[in-house]
Amino acid sequence: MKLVVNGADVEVDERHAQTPLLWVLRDVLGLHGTKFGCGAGFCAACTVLIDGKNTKSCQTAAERAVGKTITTVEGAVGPVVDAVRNAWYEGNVVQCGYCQPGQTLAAVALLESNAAPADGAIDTWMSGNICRCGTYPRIRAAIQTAADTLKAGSKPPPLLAPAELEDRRLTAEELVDPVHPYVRIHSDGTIVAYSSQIEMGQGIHTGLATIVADELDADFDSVRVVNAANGAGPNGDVYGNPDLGSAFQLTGASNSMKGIWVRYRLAAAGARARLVAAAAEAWEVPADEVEVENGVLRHESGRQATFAELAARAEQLPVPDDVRPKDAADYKLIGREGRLRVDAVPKILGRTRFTIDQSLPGMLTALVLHPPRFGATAAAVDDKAALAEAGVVAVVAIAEGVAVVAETVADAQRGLRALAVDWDDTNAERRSTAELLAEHLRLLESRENAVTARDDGDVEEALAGAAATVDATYVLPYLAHGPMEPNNAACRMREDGVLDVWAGTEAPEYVKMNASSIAGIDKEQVEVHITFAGGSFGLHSSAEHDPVSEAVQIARALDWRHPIKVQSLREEEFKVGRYRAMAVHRVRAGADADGRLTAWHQQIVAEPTSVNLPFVRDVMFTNGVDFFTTTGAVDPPYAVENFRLESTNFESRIPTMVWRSVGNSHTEFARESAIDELAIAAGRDPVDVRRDLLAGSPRTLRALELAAERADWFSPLPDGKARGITSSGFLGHSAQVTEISLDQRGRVRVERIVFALDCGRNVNPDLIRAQVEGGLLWGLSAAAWGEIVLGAGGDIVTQNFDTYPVMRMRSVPRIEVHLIDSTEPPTGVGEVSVPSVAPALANAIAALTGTRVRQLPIGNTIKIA
Amino acid sequence: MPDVNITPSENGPNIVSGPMTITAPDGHVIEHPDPVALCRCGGSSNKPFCDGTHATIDFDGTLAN
Repeated sequence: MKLVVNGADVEVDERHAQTPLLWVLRDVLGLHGTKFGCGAGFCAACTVLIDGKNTKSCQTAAERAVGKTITTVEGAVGPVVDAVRNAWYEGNVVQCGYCQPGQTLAAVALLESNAAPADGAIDTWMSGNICRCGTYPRIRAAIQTAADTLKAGSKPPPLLAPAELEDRRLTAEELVDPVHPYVRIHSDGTIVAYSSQIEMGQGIHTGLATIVADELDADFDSVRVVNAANGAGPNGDVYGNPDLGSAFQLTGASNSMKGIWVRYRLAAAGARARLVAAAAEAWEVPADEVEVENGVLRHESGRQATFAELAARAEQLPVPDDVRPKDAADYKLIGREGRLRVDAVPKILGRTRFTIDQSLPGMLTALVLHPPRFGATAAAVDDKAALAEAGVVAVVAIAEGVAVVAETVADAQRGLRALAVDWDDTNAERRSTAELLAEHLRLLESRENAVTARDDGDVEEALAGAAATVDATYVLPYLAHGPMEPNNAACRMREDGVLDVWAGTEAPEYVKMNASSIAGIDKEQVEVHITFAGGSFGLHSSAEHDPVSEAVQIARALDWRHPIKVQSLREEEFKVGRYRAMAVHRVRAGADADGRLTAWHQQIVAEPTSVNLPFVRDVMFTNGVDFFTTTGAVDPPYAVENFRLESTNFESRIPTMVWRSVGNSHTEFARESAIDELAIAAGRDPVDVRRDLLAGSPRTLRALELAAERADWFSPLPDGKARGITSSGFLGHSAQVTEISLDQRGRVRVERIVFALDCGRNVNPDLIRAQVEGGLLWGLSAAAWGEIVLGAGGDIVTQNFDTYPVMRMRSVPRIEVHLIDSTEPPTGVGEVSVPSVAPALANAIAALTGTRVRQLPIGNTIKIA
Repeated sequence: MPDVNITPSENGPNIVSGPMTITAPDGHVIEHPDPVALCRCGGSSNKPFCDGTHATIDFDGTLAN
């Protein structure tokens, strides 16, 4: 069978005639820019151009493309392509980047067919392409920019990706250097920053590059960033998370910027001091007479040298003891607009290597069939038909299910379909989500296992004396992460006995523990290679029974003969769970005759989450209370004299995991809804009620005032529109106003979200805005539609984006982000905007319709357009 | 039991048991080895298959009888 791919004739074996074009491109032709997202045509990550039309290659049998021209991200050229890609780059569109080859090709096809699309036309056209990071507002803007560029006749040059940097293990000498594990200046002038924090879309590499370049007084464009790991040495792990006492490497809890702010500013200051010392030594001048600007060192005598010229000499010198980061007044990059993401260009061009793109000589691909109910195990496997499929090499039973090992994903998938497995339900979760919810509510009512997490004043007495009260129960479902890149990992046992593992992991230490225990080797014999992750949102914080665990078991079962890559089908990812826990809350609150909050009693029932994270659980699960369940409830920004919080740990077989904003994703729904309900009961404005409560939290109050002002809170809206407001002290200080209307069919249309944020010093304002936008759309998607459903007998019903609908461009509101200037140290922004979306929306719906929605997703009560 | 079972999901696609074939108007045959979700709301940008759009457009999939 002959295909024409990117202008070249290629011969493909007839046995692939029925294979989806996606897998022929990826596994047969080695074109990895086209991505697998769902395998069912829901997400369009696999978009290619066939005869110029954007087409889902996972839904196109290879033989259907015979006689047509196939263009992938690798081969797309021309003025429209360049205009689109430049607009993407300059608009800071990209986050994790996994869906962007598909998004840009869809945009190219749009502009080729409609040179001046209106916003509505863009929304309709682009709604086939899912982005879980929530880059939609920027995609919409970038398409308009590209259309304007083309109309003006300007011809931006093609984007060029820099060469991929090698990842290399630190030597023993480098490990103990104060600078080398973090920043290296190479003789070609490239400055490489080794990021302890994985780039999974949140933009941390760009934040790191900004800080390093500013501290070094280097040219921003000369800084490259790579994911680093394997930092264990005599002084602990050089990449250990400072917020966790530097004990081990972890990306999470939105503390990356907080840690980098301390560690990398100091390391870069040390590198700069060494360069200055090298210049002083070479020129025989005092060090304090050497000036540094934009990658060049100068002395008033006229001598000058680039970083590159002095790099080798500088490396031989000690770092002076008195090195300090520069004063804020001297910042040239930090806090300024204009930084473009350092990881954008390779992502736009489809050149970034994600785990799915990992390819090694002799590597086999495995798909794992997981049980249809949580906790079930394989009782009997009939693999005859599977092994008879072309390309299938082995079938391996592992702890998590049954793996089909094959030459390509398509081969493994045919094998998987032919596999017959009897499942043993002895330890299975047999309850449906309806039954699980009933049990949560029963425990909420009975309080039989409740533990008191906080108890101030006398709640019962205060409630008894209250002039206005609220007693409300809030219900939130299990939620999946569903990052664009489905679960995966790869491993290879080297001849020297080192086990290489490739994973887009937030927790390299867990990977080492997990892989070494399965392989039966020392933990430090595992070398972790951290790939760019096509989203994670907490999912890849797992410590066991994950793709790493699966890959290592399979490789071991095959006597380490083959490098193994495990790729989850989207359905299989949903079937392994690691969900945001189901949670139910009851809030009883009371206000005095002046409408001031006097009593707050909150009960929570939820499955604990921190128990699944080694080390973290030692500090986060104490005295029977999971902080990851109670965060946001136990530490509200509001001062309440009489306050009690009780928490009950639910037990089920469903694995839970941290999910973007963790416990705050449910506790703030209960808190901010209940405050709104109490304001209504007391006849007060929701902003005024919160003002009283925030008297002791001036930064949160400031955010509240700013959001209210920018959203014109105190000006009436026309009929048919309403607003809801929330405030939060989660990872910063924020407030949100959501404005909605009802469309002609009675559906809620989210028109506008105004978000005010104080996150400490704003390192890169545009990247902060991008994270806030993405977090809002993540939260809105979950609030409107997100729900995992287990059916009768515990069958996992929700398995792909048809039954787990996610935000598409047509539903994206106008978003306005207002950042508050601050000189406080920066905090993280990847999660900060998520928790307040659902309550702000529910509060707006209550204001507009009188209906109080206390159960998520809201779409089950009132449709969200 | 017939070979093919079609299950309209609530306000969502028709789930058709696989393996199955679909013959397009131009005569080309789509062979599908798995159960498939066929668009029932008309909003999919992946016809004949479902792409999840039904959930965001208030599709009323109530059966007539």
